[in-house]
Amino acid sequence: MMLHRLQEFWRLRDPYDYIRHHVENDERIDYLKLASRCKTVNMFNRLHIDLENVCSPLEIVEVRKLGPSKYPQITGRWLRHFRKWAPNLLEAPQGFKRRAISYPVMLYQDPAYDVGEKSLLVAFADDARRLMLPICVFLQYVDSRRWDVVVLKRSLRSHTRGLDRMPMDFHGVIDYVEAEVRPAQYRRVITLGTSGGGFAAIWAAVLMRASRGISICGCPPRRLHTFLKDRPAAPDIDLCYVFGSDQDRKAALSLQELFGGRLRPVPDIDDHVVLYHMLMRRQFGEFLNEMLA
Amino acid sequence: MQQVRDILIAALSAARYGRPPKPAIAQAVVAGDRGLTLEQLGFDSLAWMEFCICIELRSGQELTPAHIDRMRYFFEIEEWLSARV
Repeated sequence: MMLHRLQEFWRLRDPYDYIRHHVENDERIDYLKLASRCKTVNMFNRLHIDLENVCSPLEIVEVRKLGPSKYPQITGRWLRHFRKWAPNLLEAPQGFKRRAISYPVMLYQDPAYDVGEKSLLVAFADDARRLMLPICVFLQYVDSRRWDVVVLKRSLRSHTRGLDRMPMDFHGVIDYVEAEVRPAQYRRVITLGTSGGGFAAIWAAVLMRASRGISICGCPPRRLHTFLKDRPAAPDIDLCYVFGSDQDRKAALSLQELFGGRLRPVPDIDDHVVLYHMLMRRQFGEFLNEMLA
Repeated sequence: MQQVRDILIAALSAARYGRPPKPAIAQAVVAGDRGLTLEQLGFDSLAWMEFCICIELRSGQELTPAHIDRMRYFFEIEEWLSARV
């Protein structure tokens, strides 16, 4: 025990480890404490990327409330990005409060609204541990009065091999989420995954008997036989892909072969990170509303 | 030189969130191909931040996205790093 604490103390002397440890484990983010450890632009970038991947819109507003007299200029520049990404985030943030079920599973919930009146969005993050957008930006486009959102971060290789630091098979992941979030109490459940989380979202929709599964530029894993064994019927499925990307189109077709569902090509974009480009074109809000309708 | 290229390969993996660089890219880096452009890597701004963070973690040298903005070819990053490591 003593040795473990000593090792932990030694590890956290490194500012990068310190930042990640606190962003991932602290119930309440102390921005100034974390920023005080950042000595270089890259350290600030690490801090800001990690915060974007974890914080709710309300927590970003808390950072802004500190004011430019307390935080460094680089923080101000970072906060200005939110005006571009989600123009009303800083003034009228969605009311999600963040609760870490365990680090790789975060529940975002507005406690002012009854769970039984809401729907649940189960979101599988991509390789960058976000939903093609910072989690806080994505959440700002979801109505917190009508939705609770649970975000899952994958293990090193894939969601199908468990969650970050929680190796288990995919059924184990779903059992864990169902035990912790109790989807049955919601009006309905929709699953959504981006890129590396796309297949997981569709497979989760099947296992959870969700109302709908949405894959955004997802692709099936190479080895499929274990997934296809005795699978229940697929629910309503949307397979979005970038019209200009042959690779994404083929991946969507492979998913359709496995699960059926609607192909939804996104026109005029040829980059894989399609939600970001939609965001920049101010099309993301409408797109997401349509998907969750 | 080998140390620098090892750092660069690790940074390319970091920019792909842990996946190794595509074989053609890795080959070009290892061979010191001066024709490899940064555009060919297909990184977005987030990926470049991860790349720079990894360079700093591995080498202690503060390469930033602002430095990258002024470069066009991958060998320029290699030269920048070689001069400091």
